[in-house]
Amino acid sequence: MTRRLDTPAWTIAAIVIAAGGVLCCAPANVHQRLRGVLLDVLAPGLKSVAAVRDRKTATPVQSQADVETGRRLRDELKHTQALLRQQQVESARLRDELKQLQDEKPRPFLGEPGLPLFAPDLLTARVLDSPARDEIERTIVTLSEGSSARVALAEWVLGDDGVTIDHGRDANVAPDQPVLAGRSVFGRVASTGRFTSRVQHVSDPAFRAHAKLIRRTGDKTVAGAEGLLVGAGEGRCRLELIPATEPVEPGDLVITAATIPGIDEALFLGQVETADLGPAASHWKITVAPAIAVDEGSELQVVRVGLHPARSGDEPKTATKPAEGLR
Amino acid sequence: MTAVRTGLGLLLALAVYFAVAMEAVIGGRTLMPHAPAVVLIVATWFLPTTPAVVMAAAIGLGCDAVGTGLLGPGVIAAVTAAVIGSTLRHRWQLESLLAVILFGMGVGLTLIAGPIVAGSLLPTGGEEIPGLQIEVARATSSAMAALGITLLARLGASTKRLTTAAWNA
Repeated sequence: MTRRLDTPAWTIAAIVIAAGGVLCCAPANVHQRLRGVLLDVLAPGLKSVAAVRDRKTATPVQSQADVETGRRLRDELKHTQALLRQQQVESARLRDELKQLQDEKPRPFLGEPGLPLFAPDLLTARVLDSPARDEIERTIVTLSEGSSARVALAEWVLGDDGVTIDHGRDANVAPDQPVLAGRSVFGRVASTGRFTSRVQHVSDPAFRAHAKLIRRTGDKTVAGAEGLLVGAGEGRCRLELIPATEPVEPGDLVITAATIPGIDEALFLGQVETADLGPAASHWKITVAPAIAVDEGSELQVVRVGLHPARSGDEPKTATKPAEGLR
Repeated sequence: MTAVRTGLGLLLALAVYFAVAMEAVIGGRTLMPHAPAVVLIVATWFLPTTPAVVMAAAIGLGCDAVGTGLLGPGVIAAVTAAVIGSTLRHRWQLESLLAVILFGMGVGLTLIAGPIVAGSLLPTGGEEIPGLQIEVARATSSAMAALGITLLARLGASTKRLTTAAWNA
């Protein structure tokens, strides 16, 4: 027995497909706004699934003491590495200043530095849709049987270089605001919804940042050439526009060249992984491993910059402390 | 009857909502079944065409929203898969388990890989289709998950029938 064509269903389907086609052709800002609304609607579901995932990944496989010790050691290592990088960057900056002072005559009058116009305000946000490390490893193990599949996996695992965080316009998060993880740059806010925002990781092909090399020569660290850090996808970046005449080698640090308003210090972007110079090439081909991988950050800090409270007259004119974690 | 329908509708809406949330949070980078595809397969298999199309539209839009590409290709792929799949299923009275798997594979592939293939055909799309093998693998695992749900449903129905018959006897 055959059934007649379900006309209402086909009509609805045709209307929805046409609407989908119109949506495909809609301008980018419409997509952005609609995606923000949809992500806001999905936010409670995303949060609850993320909570379940976190509880699952925290299932004790080892004893609680081992886990605590491992976590403490990891935190200490991260802290020490961050301090080391901070010292290296500071050393390079001081060396530059010393050289500049040696080149110039000392100033006749020394003034007192005033308060900056802008002050950073860090908002800690939770990542909603980043994959857990064990899931990626499990997938890699599953697929390592076929080499072609492994290549496809590598593209797929690291192709989506972005995450969603649980704060949006309601917390004054705006597109293009820098997103940090400690003293390292994670990326920038790509789009915002009311309650959630999409963050673009530094390895996203659309990411660009003005960057500077910090080289180690013996026991000294010196500031190197400036270039453009470009996301290369698959969890990697490229450092472009570094002239072939500049010395570069794997292990060199990459930091921000242009400071973020309110944060006057350079922030860590990553480390040079490979540096190749083709025959007769005018620029280096440099691959950079980002400081924080896209799946590493479970909590990120969005930098919201506003007028310095002491300058705007809301508070007495005393030097306020900058946001924690930046100095 | 109305209460049952309302309850069923709410349950399906919740299934779509959490399937999309699951896909956004823990899917996408693994070989786990594509939760929205599983919901779509099961809905298309068990529901009449009209509600299946409405659910497919919601699933497609949700998948587009949690993805990184344009909004729209997922809606088109999901609704096309649902309307064609549901019509063929009802017209040919497909009931066998093999039909469930093939149907699930078709719907899963259209929903998961469809937008990528369509994107690669666009003038701005790349020549290569990244990760197509993974999409096929996920469509297979989604079809298997849908098969499992179908088997459970059949088992539940058989048990209920046997229990009722035994009770009446």
